[in-house]
Amino acid sequence: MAFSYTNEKTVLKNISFEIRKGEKIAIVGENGSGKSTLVKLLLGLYDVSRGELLWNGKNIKVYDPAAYRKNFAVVLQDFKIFGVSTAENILERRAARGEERKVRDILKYVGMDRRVDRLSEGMHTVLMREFDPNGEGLSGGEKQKLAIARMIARDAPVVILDEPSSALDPIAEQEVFQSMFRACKDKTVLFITHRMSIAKQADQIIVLHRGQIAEEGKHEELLERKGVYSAMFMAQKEQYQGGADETI
Amino acid sequence: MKPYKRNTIFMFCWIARRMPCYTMQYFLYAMLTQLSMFIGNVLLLKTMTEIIISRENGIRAVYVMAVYVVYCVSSNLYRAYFKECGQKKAKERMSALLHKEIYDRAVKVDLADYDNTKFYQAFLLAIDDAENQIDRFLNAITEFISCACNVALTSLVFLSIDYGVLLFAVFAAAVTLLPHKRIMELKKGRKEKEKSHERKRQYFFHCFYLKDYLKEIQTGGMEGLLLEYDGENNRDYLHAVEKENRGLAGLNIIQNVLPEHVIMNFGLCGYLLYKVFIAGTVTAAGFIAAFNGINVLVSGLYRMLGFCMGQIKENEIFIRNFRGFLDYRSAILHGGKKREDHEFTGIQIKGLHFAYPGKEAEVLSGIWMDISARKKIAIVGRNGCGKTTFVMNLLRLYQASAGKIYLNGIEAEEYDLQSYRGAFVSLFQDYKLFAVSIAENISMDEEYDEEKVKYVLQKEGLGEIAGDVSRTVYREFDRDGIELSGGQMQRLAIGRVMYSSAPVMVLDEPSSALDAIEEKRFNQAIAEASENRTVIFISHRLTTVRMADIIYVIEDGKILEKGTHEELIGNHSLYERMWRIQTEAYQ
Repeated sequence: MAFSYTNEKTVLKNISFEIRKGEKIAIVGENGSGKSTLVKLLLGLYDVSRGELLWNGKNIKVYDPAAYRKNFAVVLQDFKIFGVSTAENILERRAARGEERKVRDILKYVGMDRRVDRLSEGMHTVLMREFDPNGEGLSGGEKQKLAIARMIARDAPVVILDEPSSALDPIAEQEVFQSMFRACKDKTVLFITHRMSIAKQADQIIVLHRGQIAEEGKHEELLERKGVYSAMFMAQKEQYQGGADETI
Repeated sequence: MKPYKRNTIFMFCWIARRMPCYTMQYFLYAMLTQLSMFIGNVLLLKTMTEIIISRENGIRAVYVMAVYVVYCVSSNLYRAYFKECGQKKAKERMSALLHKEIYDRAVKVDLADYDNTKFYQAFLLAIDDAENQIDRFLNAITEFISCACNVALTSLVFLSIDYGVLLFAVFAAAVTLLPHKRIMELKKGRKEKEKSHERKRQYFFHCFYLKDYLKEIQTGGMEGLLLEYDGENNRDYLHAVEKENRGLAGLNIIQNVLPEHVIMNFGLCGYLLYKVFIAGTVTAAGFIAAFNGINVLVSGLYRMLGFCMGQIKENEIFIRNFRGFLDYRSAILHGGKKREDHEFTGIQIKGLHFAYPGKEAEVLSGIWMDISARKKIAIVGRNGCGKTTFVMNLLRLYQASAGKIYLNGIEAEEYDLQSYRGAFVSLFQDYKLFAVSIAENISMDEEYDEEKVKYVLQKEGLGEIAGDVSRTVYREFDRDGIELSGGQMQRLAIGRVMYSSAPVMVLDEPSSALDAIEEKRFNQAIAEASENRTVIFISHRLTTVRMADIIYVIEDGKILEKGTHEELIGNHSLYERMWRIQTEAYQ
């Protein structure tokens, strides 16, 4: 399976790259560089103004949009948890008999199994207070883990993650990413982040700067190039190590 | 006195006190409407028929007609004015009045009560459609009293004709009213089911038309499940109200057929004819007035005892909730002390315990903190350990179950709530920007210092939107409004904290959506803005945390460890572990 496209838009310009089956690709860039727009284009939520987006060699316009999107499991930056049960939020349909095991396994993957057990009706608790007096609320980080669980349950060939761990503490982030990589071993993964520590683990990094592809390559290569990526990496590193003049 | 009578009187006084002219105008309207029926159908007919049959002075007839015409014209003119003009204006004013009173109180409701389903439902019932509820109430009251007058006057005339007529009328009214109670029960039951189904229906509707939800649905597979639930919701509702609908249909038939045709037309007619021809006690005028007018009496009685009473009883639920809402008192203990603006010496937290209402497990199991002025305090911990809950208790959005907070050496509970909270300016993880101007979003007030706003925007790297700070954020109401990216929105929200002059800044994950360069700029900006202020912040970004004067690590609702960055690294505990994981990548 392969992807390739070129396009031009006021937000994105001259984007050309290829994604090969099974690759783990990180898209890195500052806020406003066009990362989220790129994802929306890939999903066919918006149309490219110029150029084309090819899936398996064919322009995606050939495919039925809903069927095309079935190939993706997405965790958006502003994902939504719905007012249905935990299990239903993950499976995106009613849980059939015998599926509890599957849901529990996925919850374990993201480290939410014990938390969900503590809810009044376990995985069948409705996640919204207004309809069900027994409904429960989850914290920001817990919701994020659920969104990731949903992605795992979907079992699609391509996984797209947009800043999936912004609300997680460092330990949870590490755990979630480890389980995620395990669960997506054979899948194609595209993740957007501005945290170099995560980008580092990708096979290929694409650096977006002001709507264009500034650099492409592996983590070590990009550091050596001393370009945009290297500058961002150094800026983050600095914060952890030095900067005595930056008192807060 | 029965509670519903008390509530009814309360609501009437509440309305009359605020809009006395409107209340009187409403009464006049109802009276004129009801009396027209009496005058036209009973009084006029009787008078005119008597004049004509006795072949009396023709002038008198003209005189009577003239008076009637004048009455009709003026009454109709007034009624038309009221309906089209007066009522609409008054409704607008009532609406504005209500909103002010409701919103004023709504913002003072405790967060804890929002989590309580029973309260939340009652709260919604109190404010939902309040204007129309009040209007319907006023309508019912004025109509009730007017109908009563109507019935009284008509009865007097009938008594002068024949006692029997009155009896027929009462009998017909009784039969009409018989199924009324049952009808009201069924209608009430149907309405309640409607309300709960309606709320669910609204939710699904939102899911399908709000952009954010749509995005999630289009890229995922929730569509099927949501549609299924929505369909189920609709089917359940239809099924649930089937019984009521059938009952209502049946009773309606009884109510409409029996009294009119059998009793009034057939029975009364026969009786009157007997009285005219055989007993000779009823005149032609009396016959006409009685036969034509019985409808007035019966429908008057029905409106009064059936419709109006029913409407008033229905309103009672609303009035009860409305009253409860007006009487609402926050559970957060507070006094009347005012805080001195220029003075801030510190905050002490001693043994704070907190559990969410209705939940047994404590989220905070004993927090002890000493926050001196101008210190930078960081709070760190795993997801769900209680950090945000702690901050909400600090801001007294919730009432702690045990423990004390001291501000400037005085117990927090002694302060006036507004005054206490004025010591803090906060930025939460789920902050909200409003559809007002950029400047207003920063100053959180209708007034703002434009120079200061622009300065803050520049500092936040939002120079590009500092050009026109009166531009509205969001496009919902203003097509020229500006749509901001996630990072821009966060920086704007941070601007609020910069702009404010409150002595304590409280930041909950302020830099989670910022990239490396933005974060650096953020740290610098906060450093500058907090030079003479106290800062309390929660963060997972240990780069921001490490510069704090004291770091508190919370686990399981208690303070696990505290100290400076270097001290905590030396502890080789939770903090050190998190630091190690985050910095691994940069070695």
